[in-house]
Order: sequence, then C-alpha cells, then structure tokens
Amino acid sequence: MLILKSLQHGEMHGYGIAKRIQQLAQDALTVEEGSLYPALRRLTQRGWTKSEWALSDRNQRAQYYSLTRSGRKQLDLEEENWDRLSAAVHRVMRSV
Amino acid sequence: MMNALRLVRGRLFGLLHKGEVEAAIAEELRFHLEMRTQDNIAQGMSIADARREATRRIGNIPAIKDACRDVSGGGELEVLWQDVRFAARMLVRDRGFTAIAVVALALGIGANTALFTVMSNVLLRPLPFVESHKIISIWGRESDRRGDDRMQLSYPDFQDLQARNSSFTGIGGYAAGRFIIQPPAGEVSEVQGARVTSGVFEVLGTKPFLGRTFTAGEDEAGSRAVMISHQLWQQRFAANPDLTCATMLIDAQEYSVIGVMPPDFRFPVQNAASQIWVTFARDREPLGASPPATTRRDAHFVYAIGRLKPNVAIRAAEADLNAIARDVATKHPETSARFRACACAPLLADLTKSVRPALLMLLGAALCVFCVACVNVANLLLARSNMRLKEIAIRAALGAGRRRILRQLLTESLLLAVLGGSVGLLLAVWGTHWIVAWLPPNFPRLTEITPDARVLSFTCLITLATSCFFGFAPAWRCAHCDIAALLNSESYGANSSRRGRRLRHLLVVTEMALSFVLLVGAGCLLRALWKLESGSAGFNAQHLIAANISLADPGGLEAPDRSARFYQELLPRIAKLKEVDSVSAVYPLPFTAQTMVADFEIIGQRIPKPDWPRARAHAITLNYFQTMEIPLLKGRDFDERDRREGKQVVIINDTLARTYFPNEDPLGKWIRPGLTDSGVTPEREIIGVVGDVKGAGLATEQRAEVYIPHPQCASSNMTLVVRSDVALEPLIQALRRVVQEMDGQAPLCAISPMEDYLAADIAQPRLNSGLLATFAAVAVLLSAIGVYGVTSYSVMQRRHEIGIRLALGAQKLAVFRLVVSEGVRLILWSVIAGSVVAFCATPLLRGFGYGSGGNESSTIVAVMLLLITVGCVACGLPAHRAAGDDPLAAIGQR
Repeated sequence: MLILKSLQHGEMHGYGIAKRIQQLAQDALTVEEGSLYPALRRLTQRGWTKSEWALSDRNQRAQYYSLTRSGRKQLDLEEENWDRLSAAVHRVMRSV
Repeated sequence: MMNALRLVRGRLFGLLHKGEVEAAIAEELRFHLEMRTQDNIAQGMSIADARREATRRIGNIPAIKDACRDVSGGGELEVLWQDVRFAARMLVRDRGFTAIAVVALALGIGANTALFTVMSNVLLRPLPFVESHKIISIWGRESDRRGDDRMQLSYPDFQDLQARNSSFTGIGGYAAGRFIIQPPAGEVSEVQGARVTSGVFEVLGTKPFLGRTFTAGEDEAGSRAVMISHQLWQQRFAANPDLTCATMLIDAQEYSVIGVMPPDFRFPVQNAASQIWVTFARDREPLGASPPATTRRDAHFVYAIGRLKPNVAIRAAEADLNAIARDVATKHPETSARFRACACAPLLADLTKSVRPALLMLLGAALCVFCVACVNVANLLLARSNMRLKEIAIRAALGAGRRRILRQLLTESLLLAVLGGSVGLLLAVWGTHWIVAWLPPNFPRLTEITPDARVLSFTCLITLATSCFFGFAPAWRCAHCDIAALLNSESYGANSSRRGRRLRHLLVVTEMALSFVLLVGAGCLLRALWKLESGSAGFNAQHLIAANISLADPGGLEAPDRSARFYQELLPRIAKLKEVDSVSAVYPLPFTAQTMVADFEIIGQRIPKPDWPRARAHAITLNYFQTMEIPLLKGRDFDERDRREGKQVVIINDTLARTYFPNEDPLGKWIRPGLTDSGVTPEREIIGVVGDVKGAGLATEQRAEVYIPHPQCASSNMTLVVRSDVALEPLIQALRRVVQEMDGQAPLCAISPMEDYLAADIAQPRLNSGLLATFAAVAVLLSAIGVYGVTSYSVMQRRHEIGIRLALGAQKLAVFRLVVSEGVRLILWSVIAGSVVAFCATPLLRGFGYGSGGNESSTIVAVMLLLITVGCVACGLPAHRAAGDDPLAAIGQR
C-alpha cells in the first residue's frame, strides 16, 4: 500500500520509492530496503504497477515503476480499508 | 482469470529468459547500492564507509535475489521443466525398457485409435442431412413377425404409405441405377444416378446449391426434369450459373436441368456417388406392351425414407405403417402378396447394420491389445521402480519431499505415455489409410473415414488414462518407502514383498489370458475365411472380363424386339474377334449388387400364390454356361431354337431341382416364373439343369436360380462376359470398336475382371481376419515379453542365491528347473483362465457368423499349445542364462 501511495504522483525507480517512503513517514518507519524489490515485482505481477527501463537523471539505467489504472483503483480501495481499520482501532483504543 | 493468465505468462517468461531476469535483478540492486552510496558520500561519509553503510541498509542481498527470483522466475513451471528433463534422462538411461514400453504403448494406442477413427466416422458421425436422426428407412415385410426378410416397396404401395400415414412430415421414394447421359458438349457416358420422388429432398432437408428441387407435378408421367451433382455441373456444364438453357440427354431423351446439389451432397448414401437425380416419370410411361412399372404392386423396387414428425416415436410410426400395409394387403390380395407389414429403422443404423458387429468386435479386440500393452508397461514399471528404490531412498534422505518424488515419477510415466501416444498416433494415421485401402468399395461411408478432432481427443484421453493407470501405483510405493531400511539393506533393490510379486504375477496371467482369447478369435476367423476362400463360386472367374452395356434408346413399344436383335447381332461379331475365346451376356451379373428375383409357380403342384417359392433369375444369351464354365448337369443348353416366339423355356440350377423336384426328373416339368418384359408371364418348360452359382456372395446360402433365354426376356441392359487370355487394354479396345460399329450411342462401361468382383466380395472377411490376426500376434508378442521380463527380473533378484547354489554343486538342470517352474506355473494359470474366457466368448463369435461347433475346440487346443510353447521359450531364455552364470560373479553381485 505504501509503495502504491508513493507512486501516486508519478513514476519512480526503486531507490526513489525507498527515499520517498522514508521522507513521508519522517523516519518513523524503517523498512529493510531490499525487501522493496520483491514487493515491487509482486505488484507488477498483479498488474497494479508496470515497469520499464529508462535513464535516471544521472544517466544510469534503472527500472522505473508507475501505477496502472487497476493500481490506482487498488490504492483507493486500500486507502478506504485503512481508514476504516484505523478508525475502528482508534475507537477501541480511545474508549475508556 | 486474467490474473491466472498473467501469472502463467510471467512464469513462462521467467523460465525462458532466466538470464535476462537474473541480470535485471542484479542491475536493480546494484543501482540502488550506487545511489545510496552516492547519497552517503554527499552527506560526508568516506567512500568505503558509504559503501558499507549502503550494503548494510539494503539487507541480505542473496535473500533478496532469492525472493525476487521466487516472484519473477519460472516458479512452478521451472520445477515442472526440471522434472521433465530428469524423467527424460532416466528414460534414456534405461533405453531397453523405454523402447519396449514405448513400442507396447504405441501398438496399443495406435490400434485403438485407428479402429476408433473408422468406427467414429462410420457408426457415430451423423449423416450430413438436416436433423438426420429423424430420417427413417421404410421397408416392406411379409409379416410383422420379427426376423422376416425386409424388401423394397412397390410404387403403388409406396404411394399408399405416403398418402395415408400420420407419423411422417414427408416420405420420399428412390431407386438407384445407372444412366447413359450425353451433356450438351460432351460425349456419351454412363453415370450412377437415382430416380427419386419429389418428397425426397424435403425429407433430407438439403437445399440445392443452384436452382430448385422437384415439384410434385414433376413426379407425373411426361416430365423431363433432372437435378445434377456439383461435380457434374463443374465438369460438364462448365459451372455455368445460368440453368435456363441447360439440357442433357438421358437414355436418349432430352431433360432440362432444374437444379444443382451442393458439393458434398451424397444420396443414396449406400451407393456410389450419384451424379444425376430424375423423377419416376419415365417409369410411369408404358414400356413395350407391359403396363408401367409404377402401377404394379408386385414389382418391388422402391426404397423409401421418411422424416418423423416431432414427438413421434419410431415404434409408433412403424405401427401406423403396419396398419396401412395390412389394409392394402386386404384390398389387393393377389398382387400385394408379399407386402403385409412395414419395418422402420433409423437411416444411419440401417446403413451400417451389416458392418456394425464386425467393427465392434474389432474394437473389442483392439481394447484387449490396449489392456495387454498397459499391463505390460505396468509390469515393467513395477519391476523398474523396485530396482530404483535405493536411489530414491537416497534422494529422500537428501531432502526431497514425498510429493516431489511422487511428482517426478508420475512425470516419467506421463512422458512415457506421451511418447507412446505420439508414436501411436502416427501408427494410427498410417493404419487408418491401410484399413481404408483394404475395405471393399461398397463399405458404408467409405469416403468419409478420415481422422478428425474427436479421434484426436480420444487419443489424448487414453494417453492420459494410461499414464495414470500404470504410473501411479509404482510411484506411490516409491514415494512412501521406508528410507532407513532401504539405505541399510545390502542389495540394490528391495526384497520383493509377497504382495508385490503376486501383483506382477497376476498382471502377467491377465496378459496371457487376453492374448489367448484374441488368438482363439483370430483362429476361428481365419478358419472361416479359409473355408470361404476355398469354397467354389460355381464358375471359373479367371480370365473372365465383365462389361456393362445398355441400349441408349430402348425404343418404347418395340423395346424387347430391338434388344433381342441387338444382342443377337452383337455377340457373334464379338465372338469373331481374335482376342476373344468365348462371349455371352447376362442380366444380372452374379456377385454384383444387381439382383432379379422372381417367385415361380410349379405347374402341377397346387400352391397358392403367396407361398410360391422364390428364385434368383437371370436373362442369358447363348453360350453363357460355356463362357462362365458352369457345368451342365442334365438336359440341354439354350440354342437358336429358343427364339422369342418359340416355346418358352427355362433352365434351373441344381438347388432348385433338388429342393422342389426331389425324387423326380425336373426335365419336362413346367414352372411359371413371375418375370416378364411384355406383361405376360408364360409357363416355361424346364429343359436343363446346371450347377449352382453363389450369385449373392460366397458367404451366403445357395438359393434357387432360374435362367431364361434373352430373346424371351429381353432386357436392354446386359453385362457382357468375355473369356479371353489377352491383356485387358487391347481387349477393351477391340470390344469398344465392335460396339461402336453397331451402335454409336451405346457405351461400354464398368469393365472389370470377374476376379475383382470376387475379391471385393471377400474383402471384408479378409480384412477382419487379417486385423484380428495382427492384434492377436501383437498381444502374444507383448505377453511373451511380459513373461520374459518377469522371469528375468526374478532371476536378477535371486542371482546371489543362485550363485550360492551353483557354487555348492547344484546341477545346471536343477537351477534351470528352479527358475522355469515359476514361469511355467504362470503360463498354466493363464492358459486355464484364457480357455475359460474363450469358451464363454464363443457364442459371441458365433453371433458374427464365424465358427461352428467342432472348429472352436480344435482352435482352442491349438492356441493352448502355441501359447505354452511361446511362454516356455520366453521364460526358458533367462533361465538358461541363469543356469550358465558364473557362480563367483553371482555371489559377488550385490
């Protein structure tokens, strides 16, 4: 879900996604960066992202990932689920 | 669904482009490391520190690569591919085993598929008409008792059925025949065609390709309309789409073409492909002095088909027609003597009736061979899996899961089955061509026998079934073996458990018993065939040529005279040719589909007309019996005295004489055969008795026959029979020349040696016996291999023990007996089992018309001896090897 979110506004390569998630979570999350790549491949396999080779801004070849239409749909779905879940947990935890 | 497809595509890509995927994963990770290192350097770390920190942050690189590979790599497909490669290696390693197994499977699958092709196309595929299961053949019968002979209808009877029935949406009548045609820009030729009523095309449901079908009005006398086949339209009418001026001469009268049928249209189905269809109009016109054939209730020449109304059962339709027939018989007792009931049968079933039992029997035999092949391969696999147990135990100990082992072994048997199936399919295609080449030309739906999708799926199905059947049990045993015990044992194979050995023995006994049954069947068929072939047809068919000839324009009222004169002139001219030894003419020719049957009254014996005996009748010219070399037993042959106006005479055959004049001399007696060309059926004096001829076929019962001199029963279609030693081509040229001189319009057609007709008659029994014998031989071969395999295997297992025995001084003979006894016991059991099954199966065999009483027992005994010999040889060979073994090597063998 985090990966899908970070791709929401454009395509990026794997390193960029890692940095972005780190940025957005303000260092509250530490994800083992390598596990990003199998996850990305799984997303591609399910058709939610697609990847293609391109030159990075430092003129090196890298895989750039972007969301597909069904990926965007999936992102919306997961956002909804997450909101519902966190609201429920919040209600439980905050009840006296 | 889409997901699954994407998944499979991904896996396939991963499998095929492993290198690329690996490189991509590595490059991505390297890029990430680079970027992180550079960022770290930008933050102020040293190069070495930056790199180290980046590597630490990214995680366990081999694990990451593994995880990526799991997602993007070949996955399940790769495992499968590995299994297949492994299985292939194993099969190549045991080349002998693989070869035998593949050959056995190929033979079994091939035989079945070939026969199933024939059966599927002939018996199962619906006829190419609209809703063909509703089309029914309608026959006449003498009574509605079961089993009475069926016969064609007469035209007035057909018309009654058509008008008064309530079970059919329509009934059509037809009669096949040959016609002499002359298309506008072509030469005269003879073609196969049929006379049909206008209702026939409605019953069939096929729309014409061009033009229209007959209207009811065109059934009446005087109409001259014809429909032609697509082939004829293309060949003789240049595929001209405009039919308004298309005409052709048929039997010297001009007909206009009103329609063209589609390319694959074929009717009547049971004859050679018809090129033209005309109505019965011409039969409704008088011919000579006799009334039209369509008004006579005793001329049965019409075949009928009908289309059932929806929701009407065939039995109900038959009852309906029966009621009409009974009514007709009551109203016209004299002339409708033979027609008192009807029989209905679905058209497809009707056509294939004669060949269905034989086909089913052959299919049963092919299934037996298939079972034998499977059992053989199962046995081989069992023995082989036993030998590999130790190797498999090692692999299990090294970490292979049970399921993986099971899957690997199943892949092996699947690969074996696929190999066997592919070779089998090739064999089947070749076999089908071979069978079709050997079938007689009048075999139903001969031209429609081609391999099709149904057959292909059948082959795939039995291939899969075989792999599951014989592969599963050994694989299961292997996968669930006791690893520790196996690894600790000394020998390289498991000591065979009691149950395992019993199973193998049971399999071998089954094989041999099945082969026994097949051999008995083949033996009976071969005996029957031999009897058939050695039986006499009644005449000398060698150096004898038959050729059809018809007068183009019979000439209406004067037809009989003209015919008589024509042949009286033609034959002496032909006899003068130097190529010809003797010549005569006959209608109809024995051993062909043409028949002429007449009931005859025996003058002096008071038998009512319905019970008059029936005989096959022939109109013959002079010298017929000399040309055919049929012996004249009593009295005299026809000669010049027997002219049209003279005394009416007849010659009968031996069977007629013995049956109806048992204790008296038939010469001088009078009979009245119901045959005429002028409306009058005179009494005829019997002037001679000749030998029997099996005109209806070598396998049929001998019937009574009468011969009438041509001038007194002058048909304008005759078949010339010419005895000549000369080669076929020059003879045909010479004959054609003479006929052309006499009448340019009368073509000479259907020229072939008599031997060909005899061969066609016997083609089917010959094919049946040949196939069954082949199957039996294959089964015996496979069983012999089975016995050999079992004995070899047990020898191998007991090699150690045998070595010790030999070393301790046992005689070679004793060792030999020891080994052979096991095999001989198996053989005896299988022979007993086989005999029992064969005895039970003999009534079935008799149902196909083969075998009778004593023949079967002697065949069974012969087969017993044969199998015992084969079996003894098969187990004797390994036993001989065992006895001659070097004791030291045997003991050292582990």
